[in-house]
Amino acid sequence: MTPVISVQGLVKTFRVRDGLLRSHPFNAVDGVDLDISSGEVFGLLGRNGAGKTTLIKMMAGLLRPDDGTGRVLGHDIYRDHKRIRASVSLVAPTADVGTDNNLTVRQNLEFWAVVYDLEREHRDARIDELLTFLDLKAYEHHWPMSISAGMRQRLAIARSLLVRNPILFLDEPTVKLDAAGAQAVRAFIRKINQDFGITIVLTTHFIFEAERLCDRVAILDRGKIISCDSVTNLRRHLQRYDASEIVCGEIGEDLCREVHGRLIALPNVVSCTVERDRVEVSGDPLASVLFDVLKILRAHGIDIHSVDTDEPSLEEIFLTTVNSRGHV
Amino acid sequence: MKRFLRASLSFAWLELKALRFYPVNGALQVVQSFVSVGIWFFVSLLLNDFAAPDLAEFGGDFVAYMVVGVLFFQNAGSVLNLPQQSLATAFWDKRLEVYHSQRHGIWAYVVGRLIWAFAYNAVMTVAVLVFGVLAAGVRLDPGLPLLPAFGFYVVFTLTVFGIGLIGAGNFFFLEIKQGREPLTWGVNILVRIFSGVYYPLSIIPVGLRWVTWCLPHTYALQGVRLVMINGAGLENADTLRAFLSLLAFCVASLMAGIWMLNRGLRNAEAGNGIAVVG
Repeated sequence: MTPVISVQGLVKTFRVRDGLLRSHPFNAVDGVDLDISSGEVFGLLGRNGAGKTTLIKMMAGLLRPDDGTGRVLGHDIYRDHKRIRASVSLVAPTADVGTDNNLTVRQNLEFWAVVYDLEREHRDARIDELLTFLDLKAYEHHWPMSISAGMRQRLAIARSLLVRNPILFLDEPTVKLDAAGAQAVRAFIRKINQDFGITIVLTTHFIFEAERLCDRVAILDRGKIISCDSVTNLRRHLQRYDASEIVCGEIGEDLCREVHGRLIALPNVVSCTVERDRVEVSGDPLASVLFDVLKILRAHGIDIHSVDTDEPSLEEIFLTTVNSRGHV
Repeated sequence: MKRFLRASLSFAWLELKALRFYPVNGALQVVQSFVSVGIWFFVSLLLNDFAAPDLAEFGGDFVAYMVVGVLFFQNAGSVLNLPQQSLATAFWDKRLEVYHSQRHGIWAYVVGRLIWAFAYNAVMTVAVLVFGVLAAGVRLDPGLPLLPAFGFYVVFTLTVFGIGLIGAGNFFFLEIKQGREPLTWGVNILVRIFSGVYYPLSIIPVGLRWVTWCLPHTYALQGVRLVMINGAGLENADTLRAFLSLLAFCVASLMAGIWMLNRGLRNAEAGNGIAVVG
């Protein structure tokens, strides 16, 4: 599939002031290569200061890179940054950004609809559609200050969806939201991607959020992408496979050896340990081997007491990947 | 252009909504305009006879000279600071980047605020002048030519807006995110002293007169007084000279202002971004 975003060797260095006339360089983004396909939900994962927001701003045409090349929707990131800005939507981390507190929820959208050049005859219908879609219809005449932070974030998302831009950048969309608000926003992000087919690039430092929402994830550390793949493949790269611990009845020494031989011979079994009262198997993928493992154990007359599966979380992958680069 | 204007009008509408949301602020602002002109009205009333010989050009009427001068200077002051203040307001409200990310960029926002200031100042100018003429006996020419008066108002507003835009470039070049911007602050000080807002130009020492003629305000105030007090339209050589000089300043300041602010924005995009300090 043709990437809607394709950047190579992107570099951004900031000057950080440390006195009236003194400053030092800080590499916020350092040689990033990235291809994002149409319709994808892509996550940029990293700690604070990893370079996620800077990278998003460069891809959204708000910051000019110092080096590298790239195209967003076919537009060059150096020459056509104004066109890029006009054809992508960006929602900033804080819900209140861009929201006018002197206007009601609906008036805010009406104001932006004019600024975004929406045709007069389509404005009301589009606003109604978005208010309904984002569950804000009941609050359309409320002032932004009188609704929850989660709703204000949804209002910000509604604003960004007024124009049907093919790419939506969400910079930490659930930061500062309570659990319920964050959950609602996450549900809408998925819905926006599925119903409108919009490519979504989101930054987050909530690992479970990336795991739940993203088709692919790039882990950023000190301005570099240190890993970029689907969560499943990231697990595989780590040589850390889904494993299962089966607690069972007493297994004799000879039987242990025999069962081990049978299990390790199964296709897709990566490793296997058979002990006196437990069997540990890891598979790639685990689901494809578990049934056969249990069948073999039963065939050898072994009682099965419990089966526990253990998948490495994205958090584990993230920490392992980042720590392998010298972070604690 | 039509789309840009529509977006700008939308931003002007935001200002109106803010005023309607806080009507007391609006009322206080109106009173403030009357008070500022009122104070100088009484000062000029006191000094009228004393100043009259230096104002033969305007029929020796220091009161009308002062009221017109202060009123237009006040309008110019609000427009002069407008671009920088607009950027600062949006910046601290965390809206600058959002405005920048739409098709028309922050220009629709800045021009929208200008449209609002233009309309508000025009209404206030008419209100103060009508009140001054009817209630306080300020003598303006009964056959006041409205078109040249409006022409001076438009060109003067655009001229100071242009200077304001040059200053607004410093929002990014000098990182002046709040407080006073030195260029517009400096212009404001020079104008107060040298452009004849409060006193006739004839009292300014000859050696310093060059400063006077370097300021667009001098031509604007001179011209608008000729129109309003003497009723001299553009067929009058002095009025025409003042108007053309102001027009030249207007073109130059607008071109320089647009270039400076665009340059500042480009610098910010290439540097640390428009939404951060440093």
